[in-house]
Amino acid sequence: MGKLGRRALVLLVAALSMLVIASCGGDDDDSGGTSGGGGTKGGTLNIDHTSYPDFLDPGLSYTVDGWEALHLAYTGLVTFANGNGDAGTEGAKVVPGLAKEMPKISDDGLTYDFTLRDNLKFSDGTPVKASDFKSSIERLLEQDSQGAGLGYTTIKGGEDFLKTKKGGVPGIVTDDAKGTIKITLSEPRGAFLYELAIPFASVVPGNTPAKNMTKDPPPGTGCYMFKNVELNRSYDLVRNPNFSPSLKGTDVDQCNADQIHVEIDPQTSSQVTKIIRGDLDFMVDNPPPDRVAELKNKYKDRFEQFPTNSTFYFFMNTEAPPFDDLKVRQAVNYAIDVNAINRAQGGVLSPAHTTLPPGVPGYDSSQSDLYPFDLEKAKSLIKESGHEGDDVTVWSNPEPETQRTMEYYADTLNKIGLNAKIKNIPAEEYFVTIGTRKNKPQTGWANWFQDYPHPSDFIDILLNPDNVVDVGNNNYTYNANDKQLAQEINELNKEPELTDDVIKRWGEVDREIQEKAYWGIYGNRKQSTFFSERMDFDNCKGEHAVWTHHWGMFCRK
Amino acid sequence: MLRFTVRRLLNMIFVLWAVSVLTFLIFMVMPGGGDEQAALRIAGRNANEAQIQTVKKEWGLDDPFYVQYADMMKKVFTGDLISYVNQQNVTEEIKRGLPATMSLVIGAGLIWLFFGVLFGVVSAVYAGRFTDRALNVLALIGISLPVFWVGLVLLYYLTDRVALFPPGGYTELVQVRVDWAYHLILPWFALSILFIGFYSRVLRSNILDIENEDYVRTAKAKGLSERRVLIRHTLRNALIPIVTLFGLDFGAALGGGAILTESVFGLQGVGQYASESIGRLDLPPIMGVVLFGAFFIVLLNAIVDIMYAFLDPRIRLQ
Amino acid sequence: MATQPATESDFSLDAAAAVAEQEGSGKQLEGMGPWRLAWRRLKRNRVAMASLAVFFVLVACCVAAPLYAKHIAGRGPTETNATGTIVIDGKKQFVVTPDGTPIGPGLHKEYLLGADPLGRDVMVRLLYGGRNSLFVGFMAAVITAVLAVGFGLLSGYIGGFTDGVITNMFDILWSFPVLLFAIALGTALALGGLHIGPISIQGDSLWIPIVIIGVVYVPYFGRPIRGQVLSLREKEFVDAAVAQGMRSPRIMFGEIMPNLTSTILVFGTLIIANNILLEAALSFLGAGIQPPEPSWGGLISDGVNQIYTAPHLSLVPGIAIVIAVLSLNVFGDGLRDALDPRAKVRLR
Repeated sequence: MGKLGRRALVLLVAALSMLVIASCGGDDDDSGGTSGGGGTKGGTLNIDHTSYPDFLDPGLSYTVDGWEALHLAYTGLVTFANGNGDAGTEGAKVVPGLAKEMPKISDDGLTYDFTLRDNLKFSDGTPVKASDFKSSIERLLEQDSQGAGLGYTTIKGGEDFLKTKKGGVPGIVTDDAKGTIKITLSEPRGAFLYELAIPFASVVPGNTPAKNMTKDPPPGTGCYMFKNVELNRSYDLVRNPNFSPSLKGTDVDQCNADQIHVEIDPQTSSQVTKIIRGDLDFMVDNPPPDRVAELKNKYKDRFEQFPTNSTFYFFMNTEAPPFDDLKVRQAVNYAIDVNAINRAQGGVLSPAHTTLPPGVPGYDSSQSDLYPFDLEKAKSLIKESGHEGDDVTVWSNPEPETQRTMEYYADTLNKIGLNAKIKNIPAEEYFVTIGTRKNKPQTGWANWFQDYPHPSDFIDILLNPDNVVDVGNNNYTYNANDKQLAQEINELNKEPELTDDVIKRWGEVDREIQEKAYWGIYGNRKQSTFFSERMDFDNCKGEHAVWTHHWGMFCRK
Repeated sequence: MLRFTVRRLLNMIFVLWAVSVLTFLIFMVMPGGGDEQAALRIAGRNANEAQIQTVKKEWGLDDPFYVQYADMMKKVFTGDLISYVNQQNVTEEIKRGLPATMSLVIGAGLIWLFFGVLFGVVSAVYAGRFTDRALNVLALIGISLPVFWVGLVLLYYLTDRVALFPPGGYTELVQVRVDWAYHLILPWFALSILFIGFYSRVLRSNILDIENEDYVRTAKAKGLSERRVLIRHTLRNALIPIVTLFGLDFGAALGGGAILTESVFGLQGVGQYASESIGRLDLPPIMGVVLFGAFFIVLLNAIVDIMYAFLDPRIRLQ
Repeated sequence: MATQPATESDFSLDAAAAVAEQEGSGKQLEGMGPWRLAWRRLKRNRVAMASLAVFFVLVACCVAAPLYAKHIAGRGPTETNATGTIVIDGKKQFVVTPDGTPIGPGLHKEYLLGADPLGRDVMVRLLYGGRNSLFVGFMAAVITAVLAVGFGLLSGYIGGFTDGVITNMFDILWSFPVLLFAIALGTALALGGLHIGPISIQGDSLWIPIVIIGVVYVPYFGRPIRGQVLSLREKEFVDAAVAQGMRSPRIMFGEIMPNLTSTILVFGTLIIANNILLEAALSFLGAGIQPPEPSWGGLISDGVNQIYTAPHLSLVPGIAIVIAVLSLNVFGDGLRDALDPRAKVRLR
């Protein structure tokens, strides 16, 4: 996913051992074992967002904020393991969710067989049927959800249903009596299992209307449920009284606090002050750059930053000269000084030079920086290319950090001999505008936060030449002519499992992309954890590879 | 009198209508606004051509602009205006922001009226002396300060350096009275400074002008004490234009003048909603807040005019 | 400021002359026209003249921005230097620390008023920003004056249907919440620019905020002008002109307008002052002068996120605005006193 402001999903260390915890005092009820030891469970926590989640509807939400809340109330056939709450560097594991166990995948990678656990219930008490999964997927296709293109159209009949909205998705066959689900794909897809674990594929009751249910979220199967939803103001997550017994003790059963009260405060600085005063327990967004120094020094017992799986880069459109010239693109890469940009963003960037962030399989830490900072070399490359003095429009939007970064970028392009001017468009329109082919945006800012920790989520979506379309692009390189790259990526996509060999091949593709200098990569974003005094920072940090923070893992001292 | 009032109210409606047309034109017709953008906005980041067409049909973005205008106006009255960006109901959002905006503007209005008049009278009474000069300097500084900058400076010095006040945000009146006022003190101050300076100078100048006039001299010659002369004759007349000004300024502040203060202090009122919507070029909320603001401005203008006509019969005959 | 001063006393130079007689010794004032009398009075107002001087110095500094950039600061307003170093008091330090904190003001040639997080020189940006902000404020005032006087004259003198149309136009424009209107226009036009017939202005041109600010204040000053024209129209010299067979345009521009001059002059300073404030507000919200062109309001908005660690970024441009506007207001006061000293006279 790549919408502005989405935060990344951090990688996770191996699954932890489940402990059954005796009441540690406080109002702790017996909803089963939880991960992590120590800390007081129960009670109410206060959390702030800077803006309301895009949708409180699992079929529609495509932001990190949204997923961070939704996964607590909705579950898919599979889900991601909880981890131990500390940021890690291994891939997040997919584990059974509503399904009894991991699916049986056929040898040709085209069929997935699932069996639901027994006696599953929604939060309103109604039983979960196998056909509810089918209608949940159909619901998301019927609404033209932004997630539709994520792989659900690979299911047989999915593409047609998306277009015609008639006939359902024949590729999903369910049996309510037996509780079985058989999914048939039209071609093998390695990322599919991950795509079943993200909120888009969560199961909601079959009679949920195919429209935006944010104002009154549908019942779910998570250990929390939504309550008191006040659009644009606040919402609550309270313990699910009808939590399925068969889910107790699984990774889904992770709800330490009794209630989480979430409010909106558009000023991150005010949120920081509230946490310091103890009026707020946790902030979802990063603190503003100018307070980070204060937090690092004064509150290091409850503040830390960890890298997320995100890549921040300057895109260069190969269909818009002078960026069709490799030398120009290489020059730009030599000219970018990551340390300068990091200062402009208050130190929240981890310098990067690979397409894949460190937490995604395929990342190869042995790959050195192909383009170490060298302004003189950049200048001479531009001269060689014959494009000195060319006009370049740098696309940007007025969000303060982006604005500043782009001012730096435009000045840098000028320093190496191009004639750069910034063009600002409103943040809401930014990606839509640069994603429209006929606009021919030469260069500008872009970022991508992982949807799930699989290399295709980055490379296939953002750089596959076959994915260049006329409207709604995520591939701002517009490299439609690079047939070699397309073939390599397509083949890798089909591999159903991430074996060591497959991972190595993805890493080689990453290197090829760097050599072709399609992007001016500059960093991975760091995410902060900042708690109030009463929160247990040492034991219940809740950092998570996919959800950024797993609120169900928070606890008080 | 009745005819005048009716004429005035009809004029009000005409003006509101013209404002709505102007708003619509600005955002529909100017490049950057328009149907294509709106459709893209609603359809979302990864929309394909087919999805955009569907959106256009559903939202009527393909219709000729006068049809869209009529449709939008209808929605304004039935309360069905929906934002292009986040599909929320505009009327609801405005209602939600109303308490904060009302608290800010009404509170600030009372403050600036009181202090403006107070300082104006004091300046006039001590005209030419030190107090007057000092107040004049303060007033001049007051009208030279950018409102949003004052807000920022206050925020920095009084909420962070010295944690005297809360760093922004709005607390409902119903919740805790003291907290409500506590959060509003700085915004009230920031918003009133300009008007206090302005009103005190205008009032002072009016009072002095009137004191010059013959009838006041006559009254003094008749032997009435200076105090009584001041209060009875002078003030009453000097205040009339102030009241006029207040009506207009209050309307303007309610109508959008509070945008900056609300944004800087994070009060989440109608002004802030307006500023965010404009930044996103989101036409339905823009139409909503503009009409909201224009309504108050026009209403207060009309009230002021009607009051004037009531007091001065000559005006009615125009 | 949201309103017009509804009770501006009309500036009658007859009254000025009468008071002048009271003030000075009659002899040396004989033979001096009202304008020279006014000028004398203005000159004697030390505070007002000092204020004017301050304003001129400010303008001069801003005009000299390129010289400052080249010879003293050594960099232009958009040149970044995020990883650079500087020697202060013999110690070498980063212009911007690795976590984004820039150095503050100090007595060094480079970065006299400190740096911003990209290592740009705040003083240079302040001066270039001033050029933009002052230029916009002044040109917008010209537009407002021209339009307000033009419409005021037509409306007040011709009357009838024309008056009705123009007054209604004023009403509509005035009813649009000023700030909202300016922000709305500013944002919409910044995006696509203005393309009407043969006139084509790019979205990031300075003329967009100039036109917007210029137009937005027309009703506020058009109305009192119209009022003054209405009362001037009843005076005898107009009757005389009509009797002489003068045509309307000649009367309007030749006879009536000169009598508006003092009003225009005083309003002029007020308008420029207001425009500077409005432009700052618009640029702060992103609807005025578009980045990367610096402007005072834009500089304040840039510094907002750093208000705790680098307060100079927002404080300095604000102070510049206050100096400019205050000096104009004080001078405006003095100008008004000189042109209509009645306000100064008080009962003893």
